[in-house]
Amino acid sequence: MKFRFFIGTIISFILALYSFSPGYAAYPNPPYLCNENCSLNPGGCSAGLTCSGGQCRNPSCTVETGCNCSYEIKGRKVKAPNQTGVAPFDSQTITLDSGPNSTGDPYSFPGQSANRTVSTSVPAGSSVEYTLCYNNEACHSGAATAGSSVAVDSNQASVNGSASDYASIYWHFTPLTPNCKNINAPSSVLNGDTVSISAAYEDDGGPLTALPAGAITVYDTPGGCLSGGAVRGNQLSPNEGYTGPGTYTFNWTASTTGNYTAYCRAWNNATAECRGNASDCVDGPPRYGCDGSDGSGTTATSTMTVNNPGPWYKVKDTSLYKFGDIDVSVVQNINKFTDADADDDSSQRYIMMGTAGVGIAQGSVNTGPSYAPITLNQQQKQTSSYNMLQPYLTNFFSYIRSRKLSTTITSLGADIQANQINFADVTYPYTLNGASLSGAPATTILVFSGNIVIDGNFNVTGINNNPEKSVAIITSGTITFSQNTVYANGVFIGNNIVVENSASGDGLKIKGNLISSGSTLNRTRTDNTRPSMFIVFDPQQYLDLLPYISVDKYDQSLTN
Amino acid sequence: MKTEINNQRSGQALLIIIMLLATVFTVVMATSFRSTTETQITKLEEESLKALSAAEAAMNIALKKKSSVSIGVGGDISFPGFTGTATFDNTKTNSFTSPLLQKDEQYTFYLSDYSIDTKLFSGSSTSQTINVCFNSTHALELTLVKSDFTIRRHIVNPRSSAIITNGSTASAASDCPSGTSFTEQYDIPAADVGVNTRLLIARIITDSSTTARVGIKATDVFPLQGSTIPASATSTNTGVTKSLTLFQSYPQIPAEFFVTSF
Repeated sequence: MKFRFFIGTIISFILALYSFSPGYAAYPNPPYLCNENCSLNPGGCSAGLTCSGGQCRNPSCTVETGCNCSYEIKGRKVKAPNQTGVAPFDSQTITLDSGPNSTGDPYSFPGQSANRTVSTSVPAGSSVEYTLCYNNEACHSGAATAGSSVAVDSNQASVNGSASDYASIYWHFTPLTPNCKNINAPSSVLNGDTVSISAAYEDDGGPLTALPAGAITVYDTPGGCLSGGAVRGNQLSPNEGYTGPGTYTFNWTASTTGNYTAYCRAWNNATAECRGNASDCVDGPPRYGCDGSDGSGTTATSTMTVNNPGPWYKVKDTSLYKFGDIDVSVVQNINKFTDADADDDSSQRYIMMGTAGVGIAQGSVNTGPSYAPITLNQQQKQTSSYNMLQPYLTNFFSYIRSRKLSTTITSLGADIQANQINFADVTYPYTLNGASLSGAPATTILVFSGNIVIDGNFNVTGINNNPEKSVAIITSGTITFSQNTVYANGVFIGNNIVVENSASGDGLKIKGNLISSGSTLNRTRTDNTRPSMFIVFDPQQYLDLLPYISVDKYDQSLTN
Repeated sequence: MKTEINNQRSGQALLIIIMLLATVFTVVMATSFRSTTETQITKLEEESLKALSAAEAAMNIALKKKSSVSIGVGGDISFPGFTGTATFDNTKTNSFTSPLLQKDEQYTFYLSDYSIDTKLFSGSSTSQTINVCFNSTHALELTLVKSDFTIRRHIVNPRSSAIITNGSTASAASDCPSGTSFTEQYDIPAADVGVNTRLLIARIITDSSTTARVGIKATDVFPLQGSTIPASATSTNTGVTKSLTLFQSYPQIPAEFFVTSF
């Protein structure tokens, strides 16, 4: 009895000690509450909890200590690698296995409390990969995993049991297209010209498989790229045979003025196609915008403006000093001054044709168009930013009065004296026409001191039954070639030259020479494939006029 | 004794007077000689200037009359105390140097005979290589004007700078007219000259304001390039002679009347 009492006392003592020990309180009787120790009784957790790692936890979120399983699934839909806002990828449907879906970008599914499977739709002609990060965004710039569906582990997502926990999923779409880029097209084209356009083609998300017609397509910009889903414009074929990735050239002929867009297209068989001008020319998968040179379509599109050519001038067998700039843009395929003109040559696409001297610009030499600039002369012998001195243009009058045999006349025609210089005492402005030289000597030098007008064709064989003469017209005023003048033969020297627009839309041809001490505006012409002003240097007139439009030079030396 | 002393004093005074007179005489004589020399020099200078004037007058009259003239009694010009002539030198040479040319000026060389009276060309040019000589600060535009009213052109840069884009480049001067220090030379081929070239026009293209000459040289002589009038006048009193030469070119087309400009 005493022994039993003794054992009972010992046990009671041990139990009493145990009841006062710390472990006694953490191991209450089941059911155990959230985060209570359940290691000795794994099945003793409260309802809805599970014993995980010796603690009672939310079975969906065993890491979280508050047994609150809650997180958000969110993310973006990007064009690989991480280009946001690219259609059609940014509008793909993201679906949760639990039901909701989203087409937004970014997308978000808050309030998740369990494992989820997230999937995306994939447009035709493209592939998709994903990156999944828990409670950070760092993984999206790393390697992606192929697939359109991914399982989200709520245990990894919900670590704090708050709404700020999340799983971030980026869907990285890749169109299965080749790429084209580096379109090289002139920004300005003269109407009627054929220009070369080139672009580089390469494998990209998919292989380049062919370059059929349309690999460069040009459309008038206001009309739009597509019409009823069909491509508009000129679909150009490459000049070279297809040999795989590389640079190809195409020819395009401008036929109407306006603004144009050229874009390249690259095909991966029937799988997918990329088009350069994504915003206007892509109607949906399997057609995508090309990556271009920067992944965003840069250099896969180019714009061009087609303008009508303007007037231009051409000189033959002479040297040229141009006041201001030589600023001329001429069509590729020029025509002669007239089809029957014996002096012009359409094969000489130069500003200075024939036996040209030096071309000098007071300013700069700017010849166009950029894709086929007209050359100044055959051998490009030129200089610019050069001021040519012309002292005799102002001093010649006093020189010839003192040194040359001269006379003063009050009317022209038969009153013009041969073998001397004729000073015209007339009322200004004075008009010269075909009759002015009737009865005049074969070599005629007329000097005026005011403005004169050349009205109608002048000194042309057959006019007023006159044979063509060697004529110098010199004035201290302005020489105006009227709207009625198309042909004028002679050496015309004036302080200023004015060329009126022709009533008939024709140009002005001068055989002899044209000399001014200031800039001259050219006339416009209906057909600007032909020069508006054509000046032909005439050596015969200069040899005939040599004694009169000349000076003597003296050199005196003392010999003893 | 007293008389002897007086005599000695009189002799001393006489000696002093004689010395003073000698000094005065020397000064007067020296002054007189210098004056005569200076007068003679001034007269020579005056005669020299008069001779120069006489020669220039004869030259100008010859130029106007287009024939030789003589100075002196019974001559074309009466210039008292002077004799002389002004003639036309029609010697043709195989080299010729232009007068000084300014920026943008041009010079017209005649490669066929030209008559200043009839204003007509005659004959033909010699088909030969023409060496054109110039200086290093200038480029040249050379134009050959033909009798068939065609032209040839050569555009030449000096060796040291490309004043004209794509122009030909000269070589170092090696066979140029004497009397001028040319540094550059460009040879126009005989085939370009041919027998039908009337004029060779050399236009200077440069940014330099320095005047320069252009020379031509060939194997055979060139036609006359103008009127060369050597003139001289001599003073019959002093024998002083002055000689000078005037060259008047044939007609020169100013560059600004030759180059199309607008």
